[in-house]
Amino acid sequence: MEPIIRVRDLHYDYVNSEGEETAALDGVSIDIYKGEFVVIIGHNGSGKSTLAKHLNALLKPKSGEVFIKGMDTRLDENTWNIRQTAGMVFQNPDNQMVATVVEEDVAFGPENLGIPPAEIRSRVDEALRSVNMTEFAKSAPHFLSGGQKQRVAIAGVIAMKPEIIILDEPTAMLDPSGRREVMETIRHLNKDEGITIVHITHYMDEAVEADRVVVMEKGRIAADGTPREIFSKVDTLRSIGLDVPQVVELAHRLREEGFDIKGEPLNIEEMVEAICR
Amino acid sequence: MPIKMENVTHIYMPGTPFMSRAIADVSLEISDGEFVGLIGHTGSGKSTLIQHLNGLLKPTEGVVYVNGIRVDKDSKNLKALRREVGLVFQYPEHQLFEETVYLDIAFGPKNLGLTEDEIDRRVTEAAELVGIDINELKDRSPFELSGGQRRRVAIAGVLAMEPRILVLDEPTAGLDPRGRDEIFRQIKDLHAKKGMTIILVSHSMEDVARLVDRIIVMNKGRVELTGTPAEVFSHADRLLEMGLGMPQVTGLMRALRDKGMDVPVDIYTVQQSMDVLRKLLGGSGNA
Repeated sequence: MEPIIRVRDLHYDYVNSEGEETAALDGVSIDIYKGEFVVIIGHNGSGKSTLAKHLNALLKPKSGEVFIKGMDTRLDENTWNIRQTAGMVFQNPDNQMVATVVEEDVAFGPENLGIPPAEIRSRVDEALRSVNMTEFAKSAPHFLSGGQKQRVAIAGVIAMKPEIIILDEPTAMLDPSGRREVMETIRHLNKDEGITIVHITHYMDEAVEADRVVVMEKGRIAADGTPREIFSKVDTLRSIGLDVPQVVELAHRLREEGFDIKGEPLNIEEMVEAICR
Repeated sequence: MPIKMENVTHIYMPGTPFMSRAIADVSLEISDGEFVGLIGHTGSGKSTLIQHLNGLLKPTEGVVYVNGIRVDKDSKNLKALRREVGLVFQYPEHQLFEETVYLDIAFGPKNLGLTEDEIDRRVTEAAELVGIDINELKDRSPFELSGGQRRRVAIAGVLAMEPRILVLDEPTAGLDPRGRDEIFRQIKDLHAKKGMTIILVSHSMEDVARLVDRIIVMNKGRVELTGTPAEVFSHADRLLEMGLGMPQVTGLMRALRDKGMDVPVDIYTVQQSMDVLRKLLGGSGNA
């Protein structure tokens, strides 16, 4: 099967105000397949966001290549199609609102595509429904909570009918209930609507829910596997300054002391099972 | 009693259709040198409460005392109060504005009319407290720094006012785990070495649990629970009802109890859980 996202030996460096170059991406290659739910973790400066911005042609490779559904991001004529295929949601919900009414905000993207009004209407309704925000269609964005605003931002992307959604720390500025709302929405879009998800986060409890976790460090991919594979490497994660969920750490330390903890418990239910066995 | 709130109620926009009561009849005391965690759902009144501590808001009803300064609805001059209490808002780096790191940290002390020498001493000390190398960074623009560094410069600006009480609203929001750990280590140092009273507002139960002496839980504008982390987290059901989380290991112990196991209710760190599980799993280890 052809990957929907294909990144080959991608390099990118930023130039600071003193003219010094710093490598943000230092040879990244990755394939992501349709329908996958991929979480990218890594501390600040590891290259996560730079990689994400390459996936919808906000940045173009300085060397290497990125293909989105077969489209080469280096070619300007592909840019609009790529951005329609791969939508992006950012960290700060307040910076992503353009209209004064929720449904107009969601309609902004499709309007720019020149889609007929009736079709826009149905896309907006459907998008709001899929993020569970229908009842707020006529609300002003500034009356919404952070989690609700992020869901509107996601709806704005969905109205473009993308096959991929890239989320760059969409939960970082939210409170626990806002985070839960956004994660439920992401899960729904992935499982029920088959949208490929690339989700960047610092929260390990969110990584646990993914199909696949990619760990970035110093502009490279340091590890790539299922959550269970990744979180079994507690010491590696620690050494690059990342967290592990408390339960994972507990299982790891018990095992180090010689206790027989079967499986790699990732959450409370699995840990209870491992203990009660 | 250095901080005392007596029956404090705050109503926003009274007499308008937008009137809302953010906190209601709150009474609490915080002693000198305490490290207190303030938790609660968004909208529970935490931010309104902390803004009363340095006079940004005045109570609609009730009285606030801070180090002997009394504030009620009619209080006028609140300058003295603001020098006692340093308030670090969420995303404080958004408030950086000066051309250099030095000037930004020095802004507050300058406005106090201090001498150049005293300003310099305060800037140097405040920068050191947050782990900023002032000699290396003083002439840099704050906007060139990393997110974590910018936040620490912003906190240094508050510390340079030498408040005795420091209130931090979600000081690690949006930082990566490494940046978070650094900020928390420095806050702990401020508490341990300088004996400052610290009030930490956070959504992360795991962070609050491992840092503070006492937790105050707000819900719907009222103080719902207060006590040591062990006491507060032993009320897991009430926390869940309020829409709050708990450390993952507290949840684990709760789940084990549901399975009929005899484990304590007041566990909130990995270390404590290790002790419990060693006993529970008994002989199967070789430790």
